[in-house]
This record gives sequence, structure tokens and C-alpha cells, in this order.
Amino acid sequence: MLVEADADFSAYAAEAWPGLYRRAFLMTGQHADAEDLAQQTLIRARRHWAKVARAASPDAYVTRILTNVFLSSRQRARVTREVLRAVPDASAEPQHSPIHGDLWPYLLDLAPRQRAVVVLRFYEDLAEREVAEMLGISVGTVKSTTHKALANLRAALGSREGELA
Amino acid sequence: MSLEQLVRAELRSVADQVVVPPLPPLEERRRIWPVVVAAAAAMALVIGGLTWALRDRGEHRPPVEPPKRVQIDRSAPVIPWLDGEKLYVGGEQIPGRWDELVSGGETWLARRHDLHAVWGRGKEQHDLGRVGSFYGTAGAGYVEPLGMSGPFLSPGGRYIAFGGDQGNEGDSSLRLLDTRTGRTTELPAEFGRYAVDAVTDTERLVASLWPDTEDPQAPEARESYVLDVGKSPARLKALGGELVSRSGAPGLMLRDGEGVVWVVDLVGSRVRRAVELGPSPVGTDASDSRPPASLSPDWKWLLDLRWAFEQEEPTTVPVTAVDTGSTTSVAAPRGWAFAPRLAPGFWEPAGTLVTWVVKAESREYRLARCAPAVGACVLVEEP
Repeated sequence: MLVEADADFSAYAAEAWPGLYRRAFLMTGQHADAEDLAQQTLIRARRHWAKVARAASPDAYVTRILTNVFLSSRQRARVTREVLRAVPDASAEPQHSPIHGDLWPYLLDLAPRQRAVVVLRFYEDLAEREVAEMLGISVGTVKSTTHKALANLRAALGSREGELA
Repeated sequence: MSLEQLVRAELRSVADQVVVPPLPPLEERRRIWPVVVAAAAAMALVIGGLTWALRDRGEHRPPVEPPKRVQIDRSAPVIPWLDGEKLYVGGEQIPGRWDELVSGGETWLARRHDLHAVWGRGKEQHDLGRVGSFYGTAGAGYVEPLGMSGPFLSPGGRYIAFGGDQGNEGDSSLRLLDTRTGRTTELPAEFGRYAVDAVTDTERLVASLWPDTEDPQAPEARESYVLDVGKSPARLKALGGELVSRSGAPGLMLRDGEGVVWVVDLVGSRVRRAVELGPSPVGTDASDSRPPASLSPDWKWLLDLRWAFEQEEPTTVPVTAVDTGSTTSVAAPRGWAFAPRLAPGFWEPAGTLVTWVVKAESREYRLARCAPAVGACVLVEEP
């Protein structure tokens, strides 16, 4: 039975890994952090695999784990992040490659919760209610967080255009 | 296109271009401590029960042993250390007159009086050539001003970076010396765009700042950057603060935007651990700053250094356990006081601190070894 569950989980992990990694990268903006986050998420998913496998949507369940691990790790690592933070790379970091648009650096500057909401709303295409359930917050908070995130992006883009002008 | 649509398109575009690494192992780290705690609790219950049962039966009471006195080693220190112009390594004096010393792990790097930089492991010596200035001092407490040229030793002694655009006597190439193999690698010319200020123990990583102002890609603000020398072109990662010391700590010592000093241990360009030393005791100028504390090489103890600059000759000094945050004090040997103005001392790998103590009446100076875990110091044999 256990062997069977392990095999199920391994198959799931192999299939889910690329998507999970991409989501993790969108939230963290760093490959190393994304790998840590996606790996921790799968480790937790395995720990609760019986529950995950029974869920209506295992993917949604795992995305919830990922988001919560991301947000809690950001709180724990607040101090560390202040000491070491990512900045635009001269050339090699993919997120700063010219193939990416102008918006990505500003998305990375959003506060972790705002970034998580933006990723869930606009990358995962989740409804506000679904995001609220996933994060354990009210729909109103999702709305206001999204609004603030977009306002921040708008302001950042506006100030840059002002500089350019 | 609305901003929402732009965001959606951007996120998809970024996600599509992410290169996904292979699935890593998903082994959980085994949590041993709950088992240990449970076992300890069970043992405590058993012992408690037995004690209770035997409390009035003196004939069965086990003999009470006096508390064991923890012995602090009194032998001469074997770590590299400077006594005036005398350099000691492995407990023996290295011939010559020496001005500066820094060590990490088994490696030491020193400047001889003739301005030659010399490094070694144990008593072996390798001459790196003449250097105009040096990067740091021995001991746990001093922060050197930045922007000086000279060889840099990584905190654990694995690498020495030397040369570079402020390098030695017109030599503009930057080199990385692996102290385990003795092999030197000349780094690509692109690294000449940055003045190197420190090197980490992680393979092929150099920390740097003072960007070339003629380089449009270089950052404008003064910040410390990690350069991954394994990549070409150089990968940059900013340290959200400035490097304030190249030596005297088991990791890079940085000061963040709020003036708080940290010791940061990097693995690659990721933070493995970071310990807050506290706010800089004076000013914000790197040339006039000192770290508020010194971290032991095992990352277990913080020695508060403020006393070293605020008190004349204290008989106790505060230390804090990093794991618990609890502060205790370490007492000088009876009849002696700490002589902090001479030097805060040298940490030994075992987490003991070798420092100078002074006798008030006779002004005699001796070396003492202090064990924060015990809260005491003993005089050590002179080498």
C-alpha cells in the first residue's frame, strides 16, 4: 500500500515539477529560491499525500501549499532578505534577460503577498474567491491587495516613463 | 492593452522562458530532536520518579558527586596570531617581522615587514609578492576601510583573491588561488571592471564593489556585489548593504541600510545563514566603524565588543549564545582584567577566545583562553 502511494506520488511529482517550478520562480524571482520553494512544496505534499490525492484538484492543493510556504518563508527570511537581495543582473540571470518585458523587474519589487496574489490572479487565472480560499483571507482583502499591487506597478511604470521623458 | 493584460502576458512570457532544472531529491531531513527531547523527557521522568521514591531512604541514596570542573586547555595557542611583530603559527614563531595577519581555517595570510604578502598552511610559506597595502588585521574586532588593494583571504581560508585593477604594482590581472591545491586561476578580463574586496569560500565567488563608472551596466550606488566567477559574463547579485570587513569573521561582514552589522555565510550566491551582530557602535563611515560583536568560527557565540571600547579594563565581558539569544558573561582569571585596547583577541576553531589580560598593579600582560560555554578564562602558556 505504502509502496503504491509512493509510486503515485513519484509520478505526480515528476509531472507537476515543471509547472510548480515556474510558479515558484514567478513568486520568488530567483532560480535558487524557486528550486527551494518547489522542492519544499513537494516534500510537504508527500507528507500529506493521502489528503492531496483525495483532493478534488491535487494541483490546486499543491499550489496552496506552495503559496503558503512562500509567504511564510518570506516572513521568516525578512531579515535575511534585507541583507541579501536580488538586483537586476548584468546579463545572465534569466529574469533580466532582454527577452523579458519591462514589467518583470517591477513585479519582483512588489511585496510578497501582493506578488503572490498577482501570480494567482493573473498567471493561474484564479477567481478572487479562489485566491481568498487559497490564502485564507477575505475576498475583500484579495481585491484590495490586487488593487494595491496594480497601483504600485502603475506608479513604477509611470515614474520610469517620467524619467525617460 | 490594460495593465492587467500586460501583467498576464508578462507572467506567461517569463514562465515560458524559465529553464526548469531536473526534479531534485525529495528526501526529508530527519528530525532527530523531537526524538531526543522525548527520550530526555522520559529519562527525566524515570529519574524524577526514582528520586521521589528514594528521597527518605538515605541508605539507598546514591552518593552525591561534586560538580565536575570543566578544564580549559592551558597550552599555547596553535592558531596563527601576532604578538607585536612576531608571527606564531602552530605554536611556533615564524622568522621575520610581520605587520598584518588574517587567518581562516588552516590558512593564514600575512604581510611581512618588507611589504611582501605571504600565505601558508601550517608552517609552510608562499610569497605572493610585494603589496602596496593590506586588507585587514588579525583579531576579532577591527574593520578595515574599503578600497584598499591587496590579497583577500576567504573566511574559511579556501581562496585568496589578488591582483585586479587596483592590484600589485601595475599587474592588472585578477587571480584566484585555491589554497588547498595551490593552483592559481587567472580570471577573465571582465572581472577587471570591478574592484575586488573580498572572496568567499564558495567555489569561484568573489564579492566586489567600486564599479567602473564608465561601464553603463555597472551599478551607480555604492553597494557590495557578489560576482560568480564561474560564469561568463559575470553574474551579479547585490548584497543589500556594504561590505565592512574582509576579515575577523567566519563569513562576510556587512552593514545594512539601517546600520546593522551582519555576518553572512554564502553558499553560491545564496544566504545559508546570517547572524546579526547589532548596530555599528560609531558613525556610518566604513573607515571609522567597528563591529559591535565578534562571532566565533563555529557560529555559536557572539562576543560583545562594545565593552572593548567603552570600558577600561573589565573583569567580565558579555557573550551571547547565537542559538538561544541568552547572554552570559565570561570572567577573566582571578586577579586579572581584560585588556581590550590591546586587541579583542583571536577565536580558536573550538569556539574559545584567546585574548590578552592585564594585572592592574604590575601592568603585566598575559594571554588567556576564554571558554564562553564555561564562562571562565585561564592563563595560557607562553609559546
